[in-house]
Amino acid sequence: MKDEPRDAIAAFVEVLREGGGRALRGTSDAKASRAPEASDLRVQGVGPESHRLETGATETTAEGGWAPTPSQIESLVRQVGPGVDLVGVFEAAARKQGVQVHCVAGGDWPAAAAAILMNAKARRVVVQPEADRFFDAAAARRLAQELARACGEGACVTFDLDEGTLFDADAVVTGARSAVAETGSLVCDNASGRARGATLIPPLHIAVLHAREIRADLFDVLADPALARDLPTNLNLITGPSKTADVEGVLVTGVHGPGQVHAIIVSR
Amino acid sequence: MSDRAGEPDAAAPVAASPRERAKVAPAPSRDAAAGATFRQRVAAGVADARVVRAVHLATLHKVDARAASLALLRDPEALRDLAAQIKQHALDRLADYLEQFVANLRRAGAHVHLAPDADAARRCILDVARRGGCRLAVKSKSMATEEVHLNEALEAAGIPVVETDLGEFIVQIDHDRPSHIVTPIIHKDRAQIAAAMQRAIGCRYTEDPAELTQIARAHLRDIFRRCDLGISGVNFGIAETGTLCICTNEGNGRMTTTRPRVHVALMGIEKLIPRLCDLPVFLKLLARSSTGQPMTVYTNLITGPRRPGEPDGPRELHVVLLDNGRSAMLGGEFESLLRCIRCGACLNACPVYRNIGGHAYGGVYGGPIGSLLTPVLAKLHEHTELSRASSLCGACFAACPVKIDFPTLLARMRARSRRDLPWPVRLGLRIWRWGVGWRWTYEAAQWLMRTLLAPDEDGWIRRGVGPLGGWTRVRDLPAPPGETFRARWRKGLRYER
Repeated sequence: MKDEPRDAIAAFVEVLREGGGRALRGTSDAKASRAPEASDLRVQGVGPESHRLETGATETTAEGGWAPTPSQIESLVRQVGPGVDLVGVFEAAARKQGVQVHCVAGGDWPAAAAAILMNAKARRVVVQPEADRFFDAAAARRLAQELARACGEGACVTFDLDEGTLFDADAVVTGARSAVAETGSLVCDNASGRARGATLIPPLHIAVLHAREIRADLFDVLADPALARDLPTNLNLITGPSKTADVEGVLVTGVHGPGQVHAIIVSR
Repeated sequence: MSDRAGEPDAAAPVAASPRERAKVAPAPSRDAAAGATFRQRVAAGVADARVVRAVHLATLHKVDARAASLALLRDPEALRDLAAQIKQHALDRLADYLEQFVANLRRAGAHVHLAPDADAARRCILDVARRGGCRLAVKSKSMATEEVHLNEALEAAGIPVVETDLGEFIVQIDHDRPSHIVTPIIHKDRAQIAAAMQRAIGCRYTEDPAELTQIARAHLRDIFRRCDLGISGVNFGIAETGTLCICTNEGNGRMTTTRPRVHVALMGIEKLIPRLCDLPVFLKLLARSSTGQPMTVYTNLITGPRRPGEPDGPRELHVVLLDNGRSAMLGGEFESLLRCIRCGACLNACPVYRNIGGHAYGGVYGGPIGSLLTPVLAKLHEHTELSRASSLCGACFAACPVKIDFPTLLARMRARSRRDLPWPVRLGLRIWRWGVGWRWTYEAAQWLMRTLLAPDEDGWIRRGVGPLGGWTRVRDLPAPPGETFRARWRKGLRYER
């Protein structure tokens, strides 16, 4: 696969830089030939000047130029600060978005997951093995045992993340990288052999995470410098079940993604 | 599970091959809108009371939802200022950020292409599809692909393309056009949707939204299993990391970028933001402004194609950077339009949009943003009459998360395009300018108004005299009070309690 000749993009960037866009401006030039006007001025009051923060300190970005510093951004965007009951805030926010939240103590989560799966009459369950989290293969095996005990012979648990398997599954159990208390979002990624489709394709999704992994604000997750340094190819913020209101504004869940999302929060 | 309940018995055949589509009689709306003048389109929009009512209900609901959810933020005004500022900064240094973005995309393993115009974008995507040997394309909702009319080009080349956003899917099977940036079928009721679904995929007739959704899900799942090309737009491109951020509620944005072998993202060059830490500013505003949700259900961050060892994801990622008139706006008087994040808040807020509907605007973008973007992207050679489809009330400006000053821009465009007006209107405006230019002419005009215009019994003037008749044909004027302000001032204005 051959790229667009590199110089085409480089040349475009060069023209943009030299003219600051003005060299390419067609709008005003085309118009000027038809109706020359004295008022051909830049928009007053909505240009960059009027939006400068008044706090003084600004950051020079790597390329030069001006942008608000991360701390300036934080001072304006942060809605939930440290020192609140993160589990409580998350639970309330997630419930509002249609996520069912279950808080369990210690190692009880396989039993909680089995109860949800039994309730939903799930037969084919995919478990995503996540060795880099507490949610490891051993715990997944325990879940399989719990499920077999609860659902009897018909239940089938697999660790296979093949797309065909995911398409045929009734439910999936995964971990989560973290969660956002402010918005009730689960943060899931595809690092360490996890699948992009695992948290998307089956109709029921159970995400298991430690209470200590809940972050206060969206800013805490996205502005983490460690994230920018080492981004997985796919990172998803999941806020509730898949939904649409396209037909006459009536809310319907379970369009392309899971219609049911459960978060099991493990605390000690 | 209930999601299988609505599945049609036979393995649903895909209804999107060009041959099968041709069998279905095309709905008139698409072609009718193309040739009609703005006045005719508005007349058509206003004529259908059912549509006007549906659009009113939907948009007013969203206006309330937006207000309620923004009110929960600590300082929504400061956040809007910050968003505008970051976008403006990114535009000011677009060359640098574009360079950084392209370098990071390539580092992540993506192929990057530049499309100077719509034609180049179509050719580029077709080329990618052909070289990848793609046979069936799925599309996540994207205004940029609407802008370049991609679907027609792909179908003409023999690559069927299926829209996967529920609203866009219904638009496609009904051969209609989207009428809202966020909710494309805001103008359709459930009976029309049910009929379209029955006709196109041969399912049983049902008007239940949940059931309709399940039928569409089952139908599209079959297509997702077989597709090999995924086409998406981009909500935000992050220069610092080369990341594409795609926000959807249904999961179409994730399915389209997960299942197919090849993923092509078409991205307007103005979608760039500098850093990952700038993203929360926009995420906190986008869904709230759009539907009142705190976040879209899926906020999908994609950094490169599938890497070795990953179980799924596209093998190839192509990012097509679309200019199509955008760079010409930089540094110009309509530059701030490039800050737009396509949330649709200005459409919901606009009393004119609510009454005439999205199709009346004639372009891909409707509402206040369409009134400006459509003519500006056409270099002011056409559609400038759209700038007059506004009462300049400023509701759009007040709703805009990136503070685009719509009323000022609309007024500016009116001034720029006044030569496009018919001569009697130009003459009228000239007389008006002369009339309000001096005190004596102004007072004479006031006296004339009082004498010539007879209000109806309820105090409104509905029929103007002579050339004013054209003006009052679509507007009512409150009757002037008994005495003018100037007359009272001369007598010594005092408050009466």
